[in-house]
Amino acid sequence: MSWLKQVLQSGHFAVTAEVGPPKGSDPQVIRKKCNLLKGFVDAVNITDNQTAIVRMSSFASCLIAQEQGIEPVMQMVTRDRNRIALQSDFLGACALGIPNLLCLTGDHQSMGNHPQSKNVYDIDSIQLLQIFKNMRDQKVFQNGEEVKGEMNVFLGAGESPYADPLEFRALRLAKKIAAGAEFIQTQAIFDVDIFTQWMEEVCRLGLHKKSFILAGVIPVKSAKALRYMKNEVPGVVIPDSLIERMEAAVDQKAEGVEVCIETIQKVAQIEGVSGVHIMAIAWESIVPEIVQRSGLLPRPAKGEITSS
Amino acid sequence: MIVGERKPIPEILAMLGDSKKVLVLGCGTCVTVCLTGGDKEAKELASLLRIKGYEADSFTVERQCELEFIHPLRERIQSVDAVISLACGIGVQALYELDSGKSIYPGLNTTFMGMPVKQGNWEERCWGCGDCIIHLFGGTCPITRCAKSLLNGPCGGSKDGKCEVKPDRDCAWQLIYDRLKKLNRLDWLLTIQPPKDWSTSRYGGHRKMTREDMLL
Amino acid sequence: MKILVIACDKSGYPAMIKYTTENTTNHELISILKVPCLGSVKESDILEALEGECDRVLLVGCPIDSCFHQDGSRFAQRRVNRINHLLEEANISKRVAISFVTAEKTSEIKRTLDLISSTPAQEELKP
Repeated sequence: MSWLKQVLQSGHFAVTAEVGPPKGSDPQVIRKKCNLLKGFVDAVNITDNQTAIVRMSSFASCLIAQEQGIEPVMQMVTRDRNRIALQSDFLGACALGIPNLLCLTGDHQSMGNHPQSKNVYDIDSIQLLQIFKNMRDQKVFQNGEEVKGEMNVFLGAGESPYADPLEFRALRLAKKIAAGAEFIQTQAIFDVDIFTQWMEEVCRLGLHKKSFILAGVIPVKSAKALRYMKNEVPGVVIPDSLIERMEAAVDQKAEGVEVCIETIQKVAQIEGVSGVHIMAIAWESIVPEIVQRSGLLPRPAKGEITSS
Repeated sequence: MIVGERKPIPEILAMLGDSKKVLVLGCGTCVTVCLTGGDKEAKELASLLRIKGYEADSFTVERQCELEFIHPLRERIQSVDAVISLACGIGVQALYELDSGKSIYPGLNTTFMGMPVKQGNWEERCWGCGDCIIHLFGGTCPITRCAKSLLNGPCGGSKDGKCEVKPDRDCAWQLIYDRLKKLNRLDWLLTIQPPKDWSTSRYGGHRKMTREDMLL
Repeated sequence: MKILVIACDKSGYPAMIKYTTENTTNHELISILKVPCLGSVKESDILEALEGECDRVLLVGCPIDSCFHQDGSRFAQRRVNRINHLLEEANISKRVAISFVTAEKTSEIKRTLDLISSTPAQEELKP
């Protein structure tokens, strides 16, 4: 059974972190990142060719993570695989004991390093959630045929509180949850005010009771990086005051960590937030410090939680 | 209509190779309206070819995609070394059906099925998925106009009503949302659209339509 | 450079007549064609003219904002630009130019004729 699910169900404030597989075949890269995070997070998200850049597969990287004794959340995007391949990989993940799946549509290939490629988008993330939920709970494939075996997986989805149309975002989350999302990891939060408003709407709809919501955060190394994200990364809102604060800092790196910790502490106070998801892309080494200084240690240990 | 864009002239010249006598064939239907492959454009290209030293002529048929219209051209095609068709890909293939033994070169890149949204601007509107559900989305086809063909709402990249993939294009889901809001039908968006049956689309293989009562 | 002039009968043609009577021109003018308005000159007309011996086609007509037929000069300018791009794409060194004049003012004609007679094709594309 998913440890992440146990942590969340027992009422602990969960901590997950992102682990990007390498642009190469060296398993040591995953092992190193996992060893760095072990004991500081409850599970690690293994991205699926994120930003449409080719990397080691999420599936293989998840197995490497598991070998290191850290629980993976396997991300699956619908950009590169049709319903045949996705269901097949789902069965494989179940067979190999990958306990968490995060269903995403995925960044468009034109944003990545093979913009000439053909995309798939046979289904979207909501349909993917529904297909997996039906396989697990109703024991049926998407076509209605019977599927056999145990499929004890914890299903998750992503959501951005910042993308337009803003007033539709919480309702879209409701659709994801209705389709089968048991936990949600949000887009990175820099603007806590908009996130707070979104969470109010989420709570008003009672969605926080139907699904665990983990707030996404990104530690940023410099004002320049922050400005780049503001201009180039869709679905992220960065207040100018934050950029000014970073620019004014003597040690921007340290300030970035400080901002991240403050954001975690702020979002942890918001009703309906069940955990935090730290996306320290290419800066995994900072995660232990952030978790520790945010007061999120020690992480719950096996045996402390009795599985329900 | 079918929209096409003229191929770069160097590419056309490269296709022609050592052909001397060339016929430029325009089409009087869609590509005339989108100003890329009609009589005017055929004449211009033939003129350019003559300046380049080819023995070029042009002619425009009402519809290159119908055999009845192009049959009378068979002999004329046989009298030249090569034909440049300024029709869409359908017209080019129809010309090959004449079995003239000549090479027919596409002078256009067929780009999409769309409409002129304003003077000088054409936009894609239909993918020909074979199972129309436009009415569920307030008249905006998400399969065609959303870069990811999402059926259950906008992705996380919709900003200020624009698409993250092509920031000068409207986000289809913003259009859908706005239209349904106006129609007081936002509740439609709460329905989870099931996976689409793509077998009616090109993914089901080459498509064909038959009207038994019209067969000869 | 052999030049064909296409002039509108409102301002371009009278200006050309005045210019040719006042100047002993050293430009190789093939002919001066009179049209009702530059807006009536099609791209294919210009290209056809270029198929022959002429190296340059010069359109002479009313200034853009005082075209007798309102938008004729504006359309003509767009067509001239488009044809020049087509010629450039096809790697043909012939070019088209346009000059806006009033019936009395002929200095612009001389300037343009001097320019297109002496400059290589690549230079002329630059605004």
